[in-house]
Amino acid sequence: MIDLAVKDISHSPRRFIFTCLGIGMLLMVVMAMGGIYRGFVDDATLIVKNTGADIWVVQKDTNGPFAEESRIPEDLKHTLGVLPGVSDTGALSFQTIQINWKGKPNRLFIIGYDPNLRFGGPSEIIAGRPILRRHYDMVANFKSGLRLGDKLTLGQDTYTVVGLTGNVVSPSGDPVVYMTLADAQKVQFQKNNEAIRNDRERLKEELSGLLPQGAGEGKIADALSNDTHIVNAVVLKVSKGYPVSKIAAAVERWKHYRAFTVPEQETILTMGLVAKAKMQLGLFRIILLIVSMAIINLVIYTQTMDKMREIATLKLIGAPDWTIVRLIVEQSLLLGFFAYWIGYAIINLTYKYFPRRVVLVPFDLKALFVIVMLICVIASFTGVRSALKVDPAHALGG
Amino acid sequence: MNNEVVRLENLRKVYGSGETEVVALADANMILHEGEVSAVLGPSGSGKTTMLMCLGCIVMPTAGKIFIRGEEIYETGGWKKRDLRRLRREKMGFIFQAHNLVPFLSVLENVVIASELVGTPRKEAETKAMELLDYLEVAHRAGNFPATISGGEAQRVAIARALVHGPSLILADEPTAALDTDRGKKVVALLKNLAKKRGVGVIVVTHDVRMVEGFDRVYHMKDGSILDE
Ligand SMILES: Nc1ncnc2c1ncn2[C@@H]1O[C@H](COP(=O)(O)OP(=O)(O)O)[C@@H](O)[C@H]1O
Ligand SMILES: [Mg+2]
Repeated sequence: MIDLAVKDISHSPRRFIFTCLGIGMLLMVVMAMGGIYRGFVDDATLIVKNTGADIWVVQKDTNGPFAEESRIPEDLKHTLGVLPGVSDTGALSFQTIQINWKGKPNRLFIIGYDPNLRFGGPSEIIAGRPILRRHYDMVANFKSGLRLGDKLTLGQDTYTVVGLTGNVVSPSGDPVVYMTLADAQKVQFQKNNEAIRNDRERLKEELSGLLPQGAGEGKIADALSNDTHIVNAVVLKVSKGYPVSKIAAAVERWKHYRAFTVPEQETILTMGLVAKAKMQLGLFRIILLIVSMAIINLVIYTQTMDKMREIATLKLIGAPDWTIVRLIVEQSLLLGFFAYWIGYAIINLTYKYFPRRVVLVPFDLKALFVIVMLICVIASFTGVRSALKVDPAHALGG
Repeated sequence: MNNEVVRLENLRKVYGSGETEVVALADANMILHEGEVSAVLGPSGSGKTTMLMCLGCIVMPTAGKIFIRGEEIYETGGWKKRDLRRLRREKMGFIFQAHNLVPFLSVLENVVIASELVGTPRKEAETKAMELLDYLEVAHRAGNFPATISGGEAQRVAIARALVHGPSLILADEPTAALDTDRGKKVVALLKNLAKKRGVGVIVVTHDVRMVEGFDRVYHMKDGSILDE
């Protein structure tokens, strides 16, 4: 059989092409939103992956430093180091800062780590060198806006970017800057001078109620509140052959901290940070698909109405309904097919330039293709219905 | 009676009811034999198109009988739209006042599709179509779209489309209405010759007296009734 759908389109392709482009762009946005969501998930768990730890120890009754405030003593890393099966320990601090960089606000996520350890720091250096000195070295995400040699003043000190790492971002997408733990703690606590003074006063008051007169509660309070050896998480590496979850459970029993395995930490991050984004993006995608469906419906309907006389003629010369249904549904499918590949081409050319990470997952794209094809079938219903209703006698009207 | 293609008996068609009732066909009788070329001449509104539509199984008559090749249509009530359409597809060819060619198909494809609808393979359909187009002197237009050919050429393509699948009946509704007298006469002559050659029964309805020369029979139609020849 002559392919009526293709013949019609190639005879007057303008409307078809413009619709393809339009729907293609809508589908591109749908793909981008899916990719952004996958990017959210990836970003949310990137640090956990990048750190390379097996167990995260955080403040009791909290969900860890990426969900809420988590403060634990730095020296916990020594205590936990003696547990059987724990091969390495490290302490990490995390902090989001907003700086004014070249006239623009720039949010950075500072990770403080111990450069002597084999984990916790940048997993790769793509330019410059890693952190070697105890102070004032920084390694920055190459997309952070910071370049090699840039100097950044935080608090009273100036730090130099000595190396660049890949696109490591915080769970909320801010580029990461690595420092030594000591530097990071300094930045963290200098920013909170006011808070420290308040803490100190409060501690002194509480201690004076507990200690005998003249026991030097002022000094003790000083010592306690000036203690900057506070970190946000202690991370453990587990030797091969030891069950990670058992060690995590042991830490919780023994030390009254909370200990997460990597999957647990990832679940918290994706559930907490990404769940809302998922709903929102999902909703937008559904709306865009509905809009696409409405447009396809309208275009296919118009296209069909324009052909009513020909359709009546075909019926009159005896064409079965199937011929007519096929003509319309095939056009709808072709529309969706080309639009999909246009969207696919655009997103593949542009996804690198999105401000947030866009991760295109083949499964998502395949699923979208199937959905688009279904939408096209549904969208052709009104056209098909009116075409099937038209009376062959319509062809005879002068 | 074996070579009888069409018989109409007391065919009646009433549109609407009550106040708006229109009797389009009052009492039409007609017999057409194989290879017979008949004309129905009548003024506008006399019911010619309605009669063709009843014959073409597009409009169901209010009363009366239609026999096509001896078989009574609608008789048993089991006739479905699908059956009627198959009957049209296989046994009939239509020629319209406006040529009604499909504008997005080439001249050749317009003819080929009628042949393909009855299951003829593409190659064979193309050969048959080209033969007909050649006979009708429009073969050189085979690759053109209908919009780029003249009215007379288009009507000759329409004849090819109506004949290509080997029907036993051709129904033509004012095929010359859009043409000047000379071209109209040429089209009618070609149709008659081809029908004769192939033994196809033809009914041409027209309001134009000048077009009815040389038909085997000429019926006159007035107010929904077919008068004597
Ligand atoms: N679908 C219809 N509904 C109502 N009246 C119709 C319809 N079709 C035709 N008629 C009426 O039937 C009469 C015959 O029409 P028609 O068969 O078209 O005549 P002709 O083809 O000879 O001009 C006219 O009065 C016309 O108005
Ligand atoms: Mg008429």
